[in-house]
Amino acid sequence: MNITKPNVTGIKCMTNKNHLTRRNFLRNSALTGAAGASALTLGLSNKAQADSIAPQYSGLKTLKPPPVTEASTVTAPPLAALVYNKAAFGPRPGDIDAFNALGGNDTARLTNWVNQQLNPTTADTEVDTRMSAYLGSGSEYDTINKTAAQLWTDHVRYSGANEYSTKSRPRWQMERLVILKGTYSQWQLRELLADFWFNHFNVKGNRDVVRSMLPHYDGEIRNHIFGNFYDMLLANSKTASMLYYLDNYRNTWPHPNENYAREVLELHTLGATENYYGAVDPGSLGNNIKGQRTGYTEIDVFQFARALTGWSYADGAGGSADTGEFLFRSDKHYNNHASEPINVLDISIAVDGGENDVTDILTYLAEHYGTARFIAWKLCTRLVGDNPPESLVASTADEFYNRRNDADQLKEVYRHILLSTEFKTTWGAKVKRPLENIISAMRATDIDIDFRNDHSPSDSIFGRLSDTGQKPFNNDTPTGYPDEKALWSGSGPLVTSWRTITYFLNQSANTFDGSLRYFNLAEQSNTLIPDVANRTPTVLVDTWMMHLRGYAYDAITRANLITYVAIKSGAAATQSIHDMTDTNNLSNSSTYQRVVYTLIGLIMMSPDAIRR
Amino acid sequence: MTTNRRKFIKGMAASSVAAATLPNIAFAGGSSNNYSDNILIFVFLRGGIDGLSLLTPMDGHPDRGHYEALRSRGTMIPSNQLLSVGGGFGLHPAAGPMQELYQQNDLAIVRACGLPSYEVNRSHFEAERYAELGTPGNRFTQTGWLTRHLATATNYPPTIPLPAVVTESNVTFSFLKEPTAVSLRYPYAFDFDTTENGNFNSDQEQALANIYSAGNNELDSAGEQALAAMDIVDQVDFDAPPSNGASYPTRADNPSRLTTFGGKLQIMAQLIKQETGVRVGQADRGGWDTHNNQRNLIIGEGFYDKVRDISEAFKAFFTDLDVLAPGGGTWADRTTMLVCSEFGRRAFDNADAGTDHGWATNTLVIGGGVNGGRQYGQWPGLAPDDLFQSADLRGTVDYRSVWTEILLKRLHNNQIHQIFPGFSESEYKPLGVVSGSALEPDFNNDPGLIYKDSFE
Repeated sequence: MNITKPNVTGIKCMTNKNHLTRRNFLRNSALTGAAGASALTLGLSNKAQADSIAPQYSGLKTLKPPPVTEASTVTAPPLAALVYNKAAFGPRPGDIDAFNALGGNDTARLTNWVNQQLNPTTADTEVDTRMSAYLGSGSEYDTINKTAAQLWTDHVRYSGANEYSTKSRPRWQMERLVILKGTYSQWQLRELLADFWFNHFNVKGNRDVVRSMLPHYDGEIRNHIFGNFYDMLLANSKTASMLYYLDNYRNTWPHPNENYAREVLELHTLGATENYYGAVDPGSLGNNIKGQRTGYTEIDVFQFARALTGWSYADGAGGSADTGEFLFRSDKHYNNHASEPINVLDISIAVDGGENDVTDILTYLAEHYGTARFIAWKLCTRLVGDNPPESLVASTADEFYNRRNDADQLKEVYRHILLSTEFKTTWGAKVKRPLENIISAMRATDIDIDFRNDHSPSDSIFGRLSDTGQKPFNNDTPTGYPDEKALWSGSGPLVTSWRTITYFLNQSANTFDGSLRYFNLAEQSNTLIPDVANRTPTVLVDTWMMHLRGYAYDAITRANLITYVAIKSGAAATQSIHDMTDTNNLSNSSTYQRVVYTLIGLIMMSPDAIRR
Repeated sequence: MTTNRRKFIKGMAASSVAAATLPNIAFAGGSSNNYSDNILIFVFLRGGIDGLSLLTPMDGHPDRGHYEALRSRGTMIPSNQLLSVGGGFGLHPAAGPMQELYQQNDLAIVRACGLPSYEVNRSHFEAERYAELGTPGNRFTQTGWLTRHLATATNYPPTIPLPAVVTESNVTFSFLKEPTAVSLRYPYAFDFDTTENGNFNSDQEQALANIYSAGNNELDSAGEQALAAMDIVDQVDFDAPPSNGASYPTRADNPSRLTTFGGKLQIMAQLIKQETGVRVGQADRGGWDTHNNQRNLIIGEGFYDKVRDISEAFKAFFTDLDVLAPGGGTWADRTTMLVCSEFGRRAFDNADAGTDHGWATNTLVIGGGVNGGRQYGQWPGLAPDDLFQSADLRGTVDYRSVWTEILLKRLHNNQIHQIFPGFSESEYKPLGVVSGSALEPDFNNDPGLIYKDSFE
């Protein structure tokens, strides 16, 4: 029997005309959105239940059909707020004023803000302060600064008592650190981009090796956030976490494993969307505008997998050290066993190559115009909005491509996007995902918590965040968490975000284990509105909107908020709440306290707080 | 927590017996609340299930020798361990409950099903979109196939409490931009989380509803819907025990808890039996991307455990639903489950006792209206020349044929040109997997109201 096994050159190719023509077509062929208003009649309602034997499910009201177009009725906030909601996790009190002090007009302010954010200093004052008490041996952040070899020895290779928790502790600490940094870092853009790139190079946090090596893995990404894409790609390819997660540590000649090779092409560099041609003859593909082969095929996947044989880490096998550090195993590498060259797109690897077999291909991929387009599209989607305009994607791709040899390539790509007209003028084309909603609310309310592992107030919030479907480092597949608005604006993400916000606001006035510092929103309210006579529903709403969000919501939202406060306090809209209840009663359960934190909840759960 | 509201429904709605014995007023004179509508539960096995390990040629099948040669590196299942379902094929050893469903004619197997030959794709993330968006070759379609089904169905009443439920954290591609789809992963986490009393909670909800209902874009609609869904979900009793002693699979490391997938199907059954009106639902089961150490025959976190999990969950789900429903028949009779995956695996295993991405795999159709106890789809064979690119099980059934048949016969929707744009009459090859009078499919290729191609 003559069955072709891993000898991939034996795979027959199918030329597929449909496939090729489709690619051009795809670029412009976004299908129109959901059913038009007239086509849709389903709704959530209790109105039609009268004749049902079913329980009387009481939906609040009949759902309106969605509008065909989005964003047309959404008014963009002032630029400072727009920037802090799109390129950061939302403003903290004071951020908006600080932004506005950066220049005489919006253009100058944005230019200066972007420049600051693109050049973070080594210090991250509040993060450093809050972490400092927990870095010592045995403390809640004791694994964060370990080297790869230390993590390997102390955690991956640990056996003994508390094995599971010892192996997992780096992961648990990193999960909490995401929240701590998101909430308190002054380098908000860096935090947003760290999340972007981690998900671009996603590994699942609870996997063996990964759970223990996560501080190192994330650090290798962060080292290059403002640097060069090739450097980031190469560093990533040498991490034990990635090599383990996508099986390349098992990719050895003569037993290639194609998993990592496929995802480098599909997810890390060229992307499948525009540049994957499937099971066709690579010779049938033309060139892109830079004269490079226009995309990759199944054959390229198999060929690249061969080139990657032996690209591994030192785990004690084959006489290697046992450190978890990168190791090229030349004895397991294809070229030392074969006489046929490897061809991956335009690159032909000569026989008897070494480590440079891989670096040559990675260099080629990092410099491929298809990669430039894919990364540009993803970044524009993240920072500007879904379905970014082709003109912006193209100009961003050009920036990426033209700066491919620059040490600060990525920095300039971000700058290009953030200073574009599209960034400044697009609002509501994205929603905050649960992690962003929750951090945004924690920032706005200036929560005072040294967020960390094994700390019950942190854990309570974190547990609820885990139910949202966006627990950090927890996406199963190498795609990372999706970014599309349509996937995150449904009931599940909204309700689970809201409940985490209502939870921690509800808890805010309780010193519930002594280590969450008292977070008294009624007291803050009185500091903001010192004059008792001025504590009216209207002033309360206006003051808190400005304090939390930096601008006033639309008139209808504002009116609804005032009505709510009036109902709960018993005061008329312009009457002091103090007439009805003691606004100097700052206890956990005072009426005033509840009015304040449920109002804050409403402000942070409103659609304008969810939009980006 | 607003458990007070939850309580009022307990003991009344929870029990399907109560529902079944209540006066049947819903259908008198053709009420608008058409509870005779069939239900579709779509199960997506994410990662690409190894179809050759789920349904395997046994000794005596002409391809058994090819199979053993292809699967010589750790994924071969001995013939005597397979659970015979006739035709020379056996189900995986852990698929006992599936075999029972098959023998009761409640489960049909469509072999060699997949994306059409001109759009074979071995990328998970492309292939999943191609399938769930209903548009092979286009991953940018803005709506899912079930979104377009709901938008074009004409047999549903104007309002339904929960017409579309996904037991995931997010809406799935199948329901992309479906305004009524509720994503319900953890019922306990589907509410505000406060200790409020004195109506702060309900007034806050109402205020938020007022705010969201004042706006008129997608997010506003989504927020309104989420608040309405919160209220409905709050009234469902998720502690209601399964009917007929149905036993959902439990975790190996903690037998007091259901498996993730078992829990999802139990939620779905509770929503159905408590008459929330579910017409289409989706539950995902991941973990099928078995590149190494597939563990076909070893208990513990591998393919074996996953097959056992889904088998037990399917069996429990239909046992649970086998109670009378208002309007006649049982919930099981009117519920059809469609089980799919984005692709199958390579026909040969790899050196790591795993399998890489391939093309065709099995589709399962279970429950109401299924012509079960049979296998469908031309078997493409495993001889070297039979394989696609010398590598994959060849697809002989376009997945859209199976899904279209269910739409026409079970869901009474013939707007195929809207749901699967570009799918032509000549490509539609009904297999007879489900029974029911089929509507005349509309393959009219005009752009239609819903699927519009801005390029043309």
